[in-house]
Amino acid sequence: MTPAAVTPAGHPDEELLARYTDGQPAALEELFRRYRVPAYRVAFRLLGNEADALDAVQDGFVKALTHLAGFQGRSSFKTWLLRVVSNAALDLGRQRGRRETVSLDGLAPEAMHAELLTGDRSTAGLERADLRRQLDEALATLSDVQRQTFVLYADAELTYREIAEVTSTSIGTVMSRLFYARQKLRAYFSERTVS
Amino acid sequence: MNHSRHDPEHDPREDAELQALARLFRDHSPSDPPADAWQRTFARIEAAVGKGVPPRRSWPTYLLVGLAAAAAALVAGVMVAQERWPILAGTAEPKVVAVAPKPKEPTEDDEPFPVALASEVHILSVNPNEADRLVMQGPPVLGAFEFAFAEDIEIVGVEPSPEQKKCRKPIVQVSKGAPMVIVVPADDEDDEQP
Repeated sequence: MTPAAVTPAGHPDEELLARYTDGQPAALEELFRRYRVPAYRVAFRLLGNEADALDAVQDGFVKALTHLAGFQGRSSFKTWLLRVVSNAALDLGRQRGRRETVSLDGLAPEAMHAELLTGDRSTAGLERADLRRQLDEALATLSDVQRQTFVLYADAELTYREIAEVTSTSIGTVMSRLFYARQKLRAYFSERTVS
Repeated sequence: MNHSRHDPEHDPREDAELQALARLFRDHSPSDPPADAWQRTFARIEAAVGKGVPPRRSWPTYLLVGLAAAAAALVAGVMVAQERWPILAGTAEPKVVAVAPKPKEPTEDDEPFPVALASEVHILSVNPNEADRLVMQGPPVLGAFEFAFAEDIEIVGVEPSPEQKKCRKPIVQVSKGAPMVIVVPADDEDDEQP
């Protein structure tokens, strides 16, 4: 019998899942602690606000844990979870509409463009919240699948292969979506600079 | 971050721009929710999925006794109810209930999909682009094949067709390198119209 007092931190995901199905609540807590932030960031990028993002994280975790038979260990638990969370976020976005919290005032587009191209961080004095809103507005110019693919690449730091697993597509499709996402984002930033 | 590259023509400048964009978004990630928001979310997840499959327990004696007593009380209650309300015992006359009408058997008029016989179908033409093969009085020719152009063919004479008595077959000379020539019997005006 597995001792209940052993701390689950540091255990591999497979072991945590086994402990969870074995009835150990600490395993669920550790899984949540381990993946809540990447799941939240992906959901937030797709939905644009904290409340909806937390709802998507909740829905995603519940679906992932109640459908573990579908997981079958063919990919990592992280990619499996992010697949469920991102799809839950997209579904929620279609139901509720993506609620924009973007302000058109604030950050000078030239500064953001300069930071993008040169990595110049002298824009540190700008409000980070304004910059985040501008980035959210840029993401809103992408289609659902382009946004999902880019967010999994940028915020979740998945490889092309992992993104292909999450989105059930080919690596070529992932590369194509990233190509168009990059084009649209560049066009967005360029237009803001010109205007 | 290591990415597999499948395109030999891949422009590394595009890759650099994509990575710069990703870095920009990562460096300005959304703020994490406060601790109480995480706790509420986890509590809802826990409530929805439970804390895992509960471990097996042995049934304590007092629980068994209680279940037995409840079962006995239930049986006694049913017996008393049958005394007072005979319908529960099945001795009262049943009420008449409406019976749904029997569906009528399908007739010839109800047949939704009449099917044509092979003898009722005449193929007027076939688009070669839409056919895998064309059967021409012999083994089928599979795959794509080319028709010859008029300039590839020189008709040097005609002769009776050995396969069809009323048809004539051209004697052709095909230029070198021309594709396979398909010889089609001419329409016979003497055939009766169906």
